[in-house]
Amino acid sequence: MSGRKLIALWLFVVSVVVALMGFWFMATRASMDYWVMAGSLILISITCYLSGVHHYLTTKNRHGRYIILYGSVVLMVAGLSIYIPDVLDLRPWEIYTRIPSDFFFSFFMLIIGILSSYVSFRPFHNFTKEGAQSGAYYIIHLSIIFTLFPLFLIMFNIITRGMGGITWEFLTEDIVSMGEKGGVYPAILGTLAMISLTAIIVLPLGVGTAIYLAEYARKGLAVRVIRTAVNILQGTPSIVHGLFGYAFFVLILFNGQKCLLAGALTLAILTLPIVTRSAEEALNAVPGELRDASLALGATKWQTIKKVVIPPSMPGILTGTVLGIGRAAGETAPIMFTAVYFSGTGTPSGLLRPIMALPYHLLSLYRLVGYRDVEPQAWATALLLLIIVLGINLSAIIVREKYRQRF
Amino acid sequence: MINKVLELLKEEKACQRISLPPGIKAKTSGFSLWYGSTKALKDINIEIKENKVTAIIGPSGCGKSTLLRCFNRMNDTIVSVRTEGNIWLDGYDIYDDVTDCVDIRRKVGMVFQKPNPFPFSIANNIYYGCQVNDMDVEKDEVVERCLKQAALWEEVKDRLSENALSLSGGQQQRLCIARALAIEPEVILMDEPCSALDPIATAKIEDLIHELKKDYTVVIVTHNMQQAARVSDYTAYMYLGELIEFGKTKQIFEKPREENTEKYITGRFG
Amino acid sequence: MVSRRVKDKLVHLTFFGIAALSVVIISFIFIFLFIRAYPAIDTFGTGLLGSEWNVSRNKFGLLPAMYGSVFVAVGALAVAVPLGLGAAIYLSEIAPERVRMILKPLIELLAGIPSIVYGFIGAILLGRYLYDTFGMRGVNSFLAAMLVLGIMALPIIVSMSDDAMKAVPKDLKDASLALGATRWQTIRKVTIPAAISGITSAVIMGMGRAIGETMAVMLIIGSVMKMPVPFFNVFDTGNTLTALIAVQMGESHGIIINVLFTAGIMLFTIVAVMSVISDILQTRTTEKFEGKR
Repeated sequence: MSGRKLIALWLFVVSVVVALMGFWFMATRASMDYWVMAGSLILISITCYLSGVHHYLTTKNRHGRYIILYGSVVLMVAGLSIYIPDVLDLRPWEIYTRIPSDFFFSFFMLIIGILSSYVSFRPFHNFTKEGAQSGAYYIIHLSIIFTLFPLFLIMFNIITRGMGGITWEFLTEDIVSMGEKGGVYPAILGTLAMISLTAIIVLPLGVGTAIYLAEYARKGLAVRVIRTAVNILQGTPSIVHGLFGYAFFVLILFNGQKCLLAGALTLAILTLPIVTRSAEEALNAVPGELRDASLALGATKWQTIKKVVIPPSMPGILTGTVLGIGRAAGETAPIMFTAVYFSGTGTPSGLLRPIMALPYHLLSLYRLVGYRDVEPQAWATALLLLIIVLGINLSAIIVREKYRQRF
Repeated sequence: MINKVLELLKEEKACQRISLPPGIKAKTSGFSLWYGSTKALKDINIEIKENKVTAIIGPSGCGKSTLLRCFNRMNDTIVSVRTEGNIWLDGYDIYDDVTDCVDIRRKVGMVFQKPNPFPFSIANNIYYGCQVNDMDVEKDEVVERCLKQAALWEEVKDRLSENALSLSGGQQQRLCIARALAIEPEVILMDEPCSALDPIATAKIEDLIHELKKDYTVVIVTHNMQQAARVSDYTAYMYLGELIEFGKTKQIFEKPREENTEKYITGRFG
Repeated sequence: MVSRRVKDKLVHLTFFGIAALSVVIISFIFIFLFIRAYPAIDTFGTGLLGSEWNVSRNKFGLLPAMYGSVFVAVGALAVAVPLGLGAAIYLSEIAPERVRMILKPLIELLAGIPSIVYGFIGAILLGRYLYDTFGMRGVNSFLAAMLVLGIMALPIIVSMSDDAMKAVPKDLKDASLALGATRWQTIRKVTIPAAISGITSAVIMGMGRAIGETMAVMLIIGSVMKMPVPFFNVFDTGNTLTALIAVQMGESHGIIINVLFTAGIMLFTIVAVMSVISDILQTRTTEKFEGKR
């Protein structure tokens, strides 16, 4: 390995270590000395100089000048940081915030560490376009890691903090004193009842819409309008669904009575576009030749759809429905004003009676955190909700991957 | 909106009809077709003889497949198609507003360019047409008869419940022919049925076409002139949406009347 | 006995009816929100657009919540767009097929986590962390809301941008590679420009999601009906349209309910316009590569 590559590799390793240290200090809010930060940055900048000078000496071309410039910037950051006060108090500017210097130091280490590891790819590939590619790929890999990081963080925290609270009693007992004691049995039943009802309502509507759009629709104003309506419905915020469910289902259809059916109808509207979209996708995946073959045999359009198009798209249609149901199971805003009452409603007792639901129970518990000792119950409820929702989604995804039909 | 509903529910009036000369199964008169604003077929006049094989040849994009698909109104499935003129089948105008294309397609079977069996079992592929047309037939009999007619029986008789997609390309295409025979059509349209097949499978299909013309009228589109010469009794030559020449196959290939036809046949084209 | 043909037409009509239901629902949403909102619009008029919200003085200006919604969404995009684009490029252009098969469903799972769970975690963990680090007045802040919403908008941005880049025909990329471009140059100069309207549409949908998100924001924004001071102060508390509705609906009565429905109409309109724009952009991408259908 040449000296150039060695220096670049050294720069990369040092930068990554510095970035990780910065991250660690930031996460733990450990107090740190100015010289830890300055020392790391100076080490990085010296390596940058070394790399630039070495490149100039061996090749006599000036591609290395940017890395020397970069090294100087790093050095400047390290030097100027000495003026950062121990605590940066923003209150004189009416911002109620005091930022300790530790935060800035660890933040600089993280950012400069990442930047420098990116920069190190240039000298490693002798400042060619491969270097630009490797650097870019490095950043892209980092972004996928950072995208997935919160997922793991959330999972890890919920599982470790919620695990202890899930006991047999928790699953099977009534809610006692607003969730502080007892279990969440009524909320589990309520959620299950509501999503089953939602599925029954939304499946025919969503699949019907999809069949119209995929099989019957031709270009024209009516189709354009329907498609736009489905898209708008998909983007509509869940709280707006809640408002509508309250204004229409609760106030007009059910005489001001919040109830299971009103909630399920609202959730059905919320999930309608999800089911429609995936069902349409599944129907479109059936090749046109099969439709032609069936029509050419004298089948009517409906016979063709029923016997040739729907059977192979069934896994796709079901996946979409299940994904929609998974979404419905976790929604709070649409049911807040339409189906649930604050605590103590017991198990579901009829279509026109209010219910309790897991996501809403979590909300009620959160509102008590700090006033009563409910945090363990809240974590357990969050874990339970997560298990139900992700379980539903995961089964849908597995079905889809397994039956993904190729023609 | 209400008008649309009423219009959709209206029962059809009787179809207009003429009597065709004996020996003529189908006939187009002054038939034109547009895709949007592009005129793809220009004033086509052609007569299809009963129990004969008629081949339609011509360079790519000349409209031969489009013309073929007009005989069972498969072009209806394409948006923005507009037609003018008539096509008569057994004296009925198949482009009359009141004609139901579902009935026509029952009388006119079709085999497509790419084998397109349904992802069902072999037997169910054949029986499908009888099922959708409410035909009162025994499933096993139909399956056996059609597979035998399509010269496929010996190869598949032990695996009738297997998925049709497990067959080879040539077998799949013969299955598609057998499937078309199940609805007891009178005319069979074939849209380049061998273009996706190897020479051996092609030879089998060509033999089959010879057999079929005893009972059926066959119209075949092909880009392969040797094939047209081998299998057909009559040949139509099309160029840029126009029917240039139509006559007995022997005459078209040996003494074409038009210069354009001769150029194409002798391969001195373009 | 109805003939087969008439039956077929009845089926056609039935499906048309079902499909038209979506249009009916959209119109109903607008009509019924408007009916409930009308008393407020009638009483206060443009006062609803003011910046003062004071129940005792009968002032109901929604401006702080509108500003809050946009401010939070912009902040969330600042987090989500760079990360999301990177992840989408990775998924569509770099990841080996097997890795992609695992990561794409994982990201879909991220989208499946209920927003109340995000809110709960955001408030308890992130809120407390920010409170300890920055010494703010409380655990609620715009910054926390931005970070959480950014994470929540990520999956939609990743998955839609991934689709847009996957839709760029392989021939185009191959042509660029054959001319001696590196894969990165091809991504930068061919794939991304070709997919740009799809990517824009993804960003708009992500923004719509961030503006419309309710439960998560409600738990971490503070729900204080005021503008942040100064207006760019991410450490301050505030309110969004969604949080305003969610919190106040349960505790209010009379004309305030009508004001909340007005907020709902604003929200619905903003997000509907964004959906339409995003949809138009997406259709454009499809038409560019697949021809008009």
